[in-house]
Amino acid sequence: MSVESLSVTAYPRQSRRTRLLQELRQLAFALASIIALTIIFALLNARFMSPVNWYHIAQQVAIIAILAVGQTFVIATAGIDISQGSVVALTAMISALAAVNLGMPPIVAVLLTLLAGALVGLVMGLTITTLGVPPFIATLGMLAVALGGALLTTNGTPVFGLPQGFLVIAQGDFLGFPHMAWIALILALIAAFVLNRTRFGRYTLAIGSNAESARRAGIDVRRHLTLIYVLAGATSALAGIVYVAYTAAAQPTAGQNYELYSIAAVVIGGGSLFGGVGTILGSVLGALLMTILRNGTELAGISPYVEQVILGVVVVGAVYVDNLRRRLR
Amino acid sequence: MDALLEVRNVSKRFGAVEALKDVSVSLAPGEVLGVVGDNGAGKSTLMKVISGAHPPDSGELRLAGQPASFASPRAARQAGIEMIYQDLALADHLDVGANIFLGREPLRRLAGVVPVIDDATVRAEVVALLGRIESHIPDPETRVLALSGGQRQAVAIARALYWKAKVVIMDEPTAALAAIESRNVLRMARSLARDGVGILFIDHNLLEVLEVCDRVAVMYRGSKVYECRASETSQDELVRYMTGFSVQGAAVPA
Repeated sequence: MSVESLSVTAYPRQSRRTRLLQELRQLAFALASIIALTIIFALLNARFMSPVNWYHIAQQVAIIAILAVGQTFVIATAGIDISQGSVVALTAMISALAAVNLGMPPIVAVLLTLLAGALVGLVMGLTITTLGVPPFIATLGMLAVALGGALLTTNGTPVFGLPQGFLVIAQGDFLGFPHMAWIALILALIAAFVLNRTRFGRYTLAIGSNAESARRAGIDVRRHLTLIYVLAGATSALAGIVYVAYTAAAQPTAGQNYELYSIAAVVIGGGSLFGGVGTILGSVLGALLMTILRNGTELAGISPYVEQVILGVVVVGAVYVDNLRRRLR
Repeated sequence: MDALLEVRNVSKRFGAVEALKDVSVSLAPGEVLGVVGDNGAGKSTLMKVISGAHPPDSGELRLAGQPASFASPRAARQAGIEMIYQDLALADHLDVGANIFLGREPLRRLAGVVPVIDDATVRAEVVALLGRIESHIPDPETRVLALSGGQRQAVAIARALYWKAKVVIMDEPTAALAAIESRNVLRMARSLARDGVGILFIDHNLLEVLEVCDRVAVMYRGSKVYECRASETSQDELVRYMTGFSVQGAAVPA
């Protein structure tokens, strides 16, 4: 017995250190890239390092980080959500219509929009788990449906005139940090807690690692996966709300390509499209990297069309590097 | 001692194929029973009947003296019959403790409210458990991904042990292992038996069977053709029964 209790206390220290090293190694890639890009963009345009620009980056990263949090859970189950950009557009329209045209109080409009996002996620989740449609196709279908829905709401015209009580969600700052960045930060902290400390997070990773073994262990895999897409839909809706408050307008073209940013963010942060791995901290760093890339190319005077090309290359490149990493292990 | 598991006159037919013909075996607590036979002799079918994957056409199973019939593998597991699959059914990216407790994690309440996984309990239990079966896994927080085949077997065995399996079916547990690791798995099987678990041990390696098992049952074309104590037989004799040589010769020793 004394031998056992000795070993109980002897193991954790060593293993915690190796764990930490493992995770740091995963994050090192993202961190190194962030530093390298920062140096390059600072050299290209001195304004890049200005406090105003970093405040701007903190605002821009919020939306991508919110989406990356939802995407982390989906990708951890070996799924993918490519509907995010369109769901941002749809929920942006819903929130603005609720707050402006229907004159709802901002809090009610926000809750309604989150519910709508969750509902969109539920449809995707059920399509995947009960109809057996692969996540890629189910969310691709939703990409088209949600974009169509967003355009249908106002026949393609934007909505303006949001009340101050709504705009304050994104505009203004607290302790020198923009509100929207706080929202993203709080969401990320909650998500990291759920992923690392709760059964829900454990089952998410287990399903992504080996769905059959999760099933044999008595986990209700279908229900869990459905719930994952519900949460992903709700986080897309949160991103849509923040987007509207940030730009003080809702446009059906909002959020275009955002799924590419979030997928790249997750993979750069150590998530694997094969499932079973992923950390919120990594994904948030990935989101920061993608934001710096976007902000920096703009400041460097590079055409937004070229930025599109870079985005595509980065997404494919990140997945390729991920494959290499898995193979080498 | 009373039989832990009894298989009485079980037959199973798949279309024209008689996979099991009137098979009876029994297993005592703490006993390792080897089941050997050529491919297609009925070993797998017998294990599937015992683990609830196939209902028998006739005959019955008795667990601890009570008649038992399992509608599914899950029902069999709840009754204490654990099958350790060849592919082991582990989640590679999770660590050893997470795999042993998967689906049944102990919880504690953070600040009295939020239920979180009780990692300290998991760790303590797993360390004790791995020590008990002499698993040679130095660190319970290693991801299964990084383990050798033998260590993966150890995780599956530890899971069965912790969740109080009464009968453990090991289906060719050493098939893909290096020699030294096979030794460890055999030792783990013995330590499970010392804890009172009954083990059905299926293997093609007769030397291993003779070493680890208390008794051996030989299957041939769906029937159990021979049964004896492992200490009173030899590889040659087992092969004669497995190939049907002694069966047709009808010279069955007592």
